[in-house]
Amino acid sequence: MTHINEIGAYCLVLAFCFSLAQAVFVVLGKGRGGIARYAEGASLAGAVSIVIAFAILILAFIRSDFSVVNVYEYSHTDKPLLYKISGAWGSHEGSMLLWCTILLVYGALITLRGQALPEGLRLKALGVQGGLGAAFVGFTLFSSNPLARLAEVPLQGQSLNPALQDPALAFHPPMLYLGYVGMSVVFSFAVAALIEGRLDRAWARWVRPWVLLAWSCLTIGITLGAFWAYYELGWGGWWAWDPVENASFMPWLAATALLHSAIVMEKRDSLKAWTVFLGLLAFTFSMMGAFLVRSGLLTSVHAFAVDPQRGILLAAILLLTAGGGFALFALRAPALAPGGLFATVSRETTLVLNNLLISAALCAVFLGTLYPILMQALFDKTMSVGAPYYLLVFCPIMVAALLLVPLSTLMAWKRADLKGVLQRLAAAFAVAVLAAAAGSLFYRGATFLGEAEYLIGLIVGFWLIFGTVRTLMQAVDFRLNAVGTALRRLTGVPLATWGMVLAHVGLGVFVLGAVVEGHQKLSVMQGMAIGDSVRLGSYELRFQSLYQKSGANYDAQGGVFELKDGRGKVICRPKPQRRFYPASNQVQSKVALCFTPLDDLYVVMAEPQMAEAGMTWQVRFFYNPWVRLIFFGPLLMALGGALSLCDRRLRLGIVRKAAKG
Amino acid sequence: MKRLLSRTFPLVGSGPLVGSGARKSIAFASHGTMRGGGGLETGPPPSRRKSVAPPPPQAGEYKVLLLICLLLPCHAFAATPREEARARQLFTEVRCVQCQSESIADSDARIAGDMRREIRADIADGKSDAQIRKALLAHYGDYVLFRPRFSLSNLLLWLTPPLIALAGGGWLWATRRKSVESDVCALSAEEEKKLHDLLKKRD
Repeated sequence: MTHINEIGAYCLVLAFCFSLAQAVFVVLGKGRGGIARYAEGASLAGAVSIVIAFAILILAFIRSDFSVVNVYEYSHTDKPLLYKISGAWGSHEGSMLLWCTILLVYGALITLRGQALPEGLRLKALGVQGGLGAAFVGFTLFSSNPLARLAEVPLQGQSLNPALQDPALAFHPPMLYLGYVGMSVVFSFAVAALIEGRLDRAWARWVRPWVLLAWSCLTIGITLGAFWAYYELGWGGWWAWDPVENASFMPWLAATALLHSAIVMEKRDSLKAWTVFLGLLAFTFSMMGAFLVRSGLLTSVHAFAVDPQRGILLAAILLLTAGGGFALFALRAPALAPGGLFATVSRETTLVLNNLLISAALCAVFLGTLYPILMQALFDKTMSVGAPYYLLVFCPIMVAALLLVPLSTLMAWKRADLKGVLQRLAAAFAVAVLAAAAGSLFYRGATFLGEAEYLIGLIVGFWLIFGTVRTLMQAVDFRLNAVGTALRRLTGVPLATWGMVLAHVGLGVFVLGAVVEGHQKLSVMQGMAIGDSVRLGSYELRFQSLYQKSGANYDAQGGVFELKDGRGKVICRPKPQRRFYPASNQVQSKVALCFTPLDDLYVVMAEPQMAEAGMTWQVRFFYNPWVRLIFFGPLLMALGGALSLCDRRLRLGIVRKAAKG
Repeated sequence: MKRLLSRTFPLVGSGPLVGSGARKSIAFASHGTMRGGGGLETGPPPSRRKSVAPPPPQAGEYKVLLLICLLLPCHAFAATPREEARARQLFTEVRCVQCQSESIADSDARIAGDMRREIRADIADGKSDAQIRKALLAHYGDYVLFRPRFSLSNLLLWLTPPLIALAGGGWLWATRRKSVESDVCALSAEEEKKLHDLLKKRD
């Protein structure tokens, strides 16, 4: 049975060879016909072999086969099955294999779903994808082989970090990587198009579904990560502008810009060079994220502690691929014919502005993440960039971008009537302002600036929601005297439009949640003994008793609390725990959440302390208003992306039908 | 005197600001009662910053200070809501120097608690935010502030993003006229005339 691991390692070698062959065939065949066509077979064979290798790694984790170094280091026989499986991507080596698996499967999908694309473009894209595959599989195989074996088999493993033993985190890396690596397809198509020297509207149409797919997965992945950070790390927040979080946010921003510029390119044949540039940029940021997280450059709760040598290898891959891509772009972009012209007031202009503002915001995140690293490396100065910087630089730029959204969706292509659009949106804006004013009526901030921020934030959130609803009303030609007809027309609204509506409404929902949570959040930290109580706002939390519980692979000590609202009614009995994991000798605090439809009451216990009066526990108690919206909004956005993807006009395979017809 | 102190300070401590009370109590009595009934921070006594620590009070000063303490109403040490809000705002800007990219507002590490207590005390002492930031910078260096200083070496960090937005906007504005000319008013006067002539011929 243990030989199966050798088969896995062998499949990994095969996957490397197939990827290399895939690239070599395309180069030898000069990118079209003949020998280059073998690249298709190689892409399929490579995907099959790496899927087998990955399956065997998962199997080794399920079987707790400690002869595999990676299983020994990150697993334990006591772990529940789900965390045994998710342990397969809980380490640097395993997650690299996951990355490569997704990369090669995307390569196979280019072959399977791209048969109707022009052969030259398809084969060249496959060649680039093969090169990327060879680089990453080679890196995994030669520097971080997850299937490496131990000569003497230990009896027990060292177990996975308890903080990672969590359902949200089990699915966070796969979704995130589906997003990151999905950008590789766009990168390959961009390079292929630049080599071909042909870029037209059709290219944007082929690429857009891939961007949508990757973007939706990335959105879900980041949301899961934020949710995990929120309820597992016990600090009451969901986003810390931590460098590793930023590393996942940068590709998302680039993909969001790309999603919008690709629409302009598809509809109006404009912004070609810019769209291709963004296509290269999105995957570059994905690779940069992988490099930052794995190079040991960053210290973060999410980073893998990895030696610098692997970091140098990853940096080399990053520089070669991204450098090659951008050099090619510099050579070829000036030759791209500028496309359709448009007037100053048009949807194109608003989308260009959207791209400009997102790029500026992206630049803020990029600088904020890299500046401390560069200052340290170049001038040996330590410094920090954190939330206050992003709130000052990133947020105002994004507010400008978000205010544009409803304007853009109501404008016509080529030339729009600004006055008409403003007239149609006036009511929506008025409602948004009224709702925001009502919402901030009872808010007293520390400073006038804080109150202004709150009001503006609410206006932006409501404006996104109501403005988008107004766009939907326009799409069904809503009239007060014909409500029924308009409602019937809703069924005829294309899925892509529904996707746009959901994504923008989701964004508004998220903004509302982030603004309210950010400004109205309350918290208190106090050493509590049994019988103590603490007040927060109108809520009262009483520490009633202690309890013991043993879980699958941990022993928990917890407190039973009683939470009363302002009228003295008991809302819930939170039971935060402190779990001791004997396998790794680590303690993990488990948060207790009291769900209300919108708000969370959040209780977490820290280690006990001996005081004169007896044992006390440091208890942190948070009131997080509207926090539900922060996680619900992005899910709506991802659902919007998925709906757009299902639109008949955008489906991955649609090109085939279009070509036949 | 000790009895007096221990009667005074638990009262102070029962307000929402044990921090300043606790800190003051060490300044006067080396082992006075420090744990109030239930305040925000109930950790061990704070490790004090060396650079800002005042010299140990002389015997004469004790009496003066005690007098001042007794004259002041107890709530003088309790933070007003505005001061508390200021403190919380500052907490988000200050990095917990021993944690992994966490602000002292988020961290439950012991040193974060000490730093919070010091900042609360500084605010109660009437220091402005700028003074507190400066003192932190002097003691811990640039690393401690999550909001980097607006200095020459940080100019790129602060100005590049807004400049990109502005320069891009300016560029769009500048190229706007061209596209309008070539797109909309594409006909020159000569062409207009030709068209006019052609139309006339048709008639």
